Amino acid sequence: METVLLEMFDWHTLDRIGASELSAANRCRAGA
Amino acid sequence: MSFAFASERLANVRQDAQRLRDGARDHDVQLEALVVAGEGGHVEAAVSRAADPNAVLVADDYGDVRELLAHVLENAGFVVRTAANGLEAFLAAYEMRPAVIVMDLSMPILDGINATRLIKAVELTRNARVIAYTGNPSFDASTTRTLFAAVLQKPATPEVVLAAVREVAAL
Repeated sequence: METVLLEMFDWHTLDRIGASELSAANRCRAGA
Repeated sequence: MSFAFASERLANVRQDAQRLRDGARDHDVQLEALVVAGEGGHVEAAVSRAADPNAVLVADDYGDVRELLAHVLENAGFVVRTAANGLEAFLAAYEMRPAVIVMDLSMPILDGINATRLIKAVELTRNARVIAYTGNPSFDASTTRTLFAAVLQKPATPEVVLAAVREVAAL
């Protein structure tokens, strides 16, 4: 459901603005 | 459609697309500045500041709607800030920490649903109560029940919006 957000922001940015769950989802998505 | 008219339309579409891309880039720069500021202590300062119970954010890509609702809400004693798209709404919510957000759902760059997902995903902004303000009569609120405190169908009179803001602010 959050695909748009995951494509718009990298995990590092999400982490720094305090969106920890989205950041983790993007890390998984990127295979990091 | 004449060739000249079609060419003009195409040029307008290209200009619109370029404006949107430029706008998105501007917002990227703003977001980056916000994030960098956060590393310098901005986030800690914001954490210690409680959300303002009188602060309302109005997000709508139509300037007339923003101005009308801002005028009505300010006259009712609220401190109002406006945003013209979903990304601007998130940035404003991050800085302002409003108690209530009136969120149009159909907006450029980032739509209202995804802007609200982002607001709810970020620790600093997740307590804001968001009112979905939509002109889509088939919008199914049950799919986004956890995101929105209320749903208002457009067109709603300013009095109806004001009543909804007061009700949601008092929750």
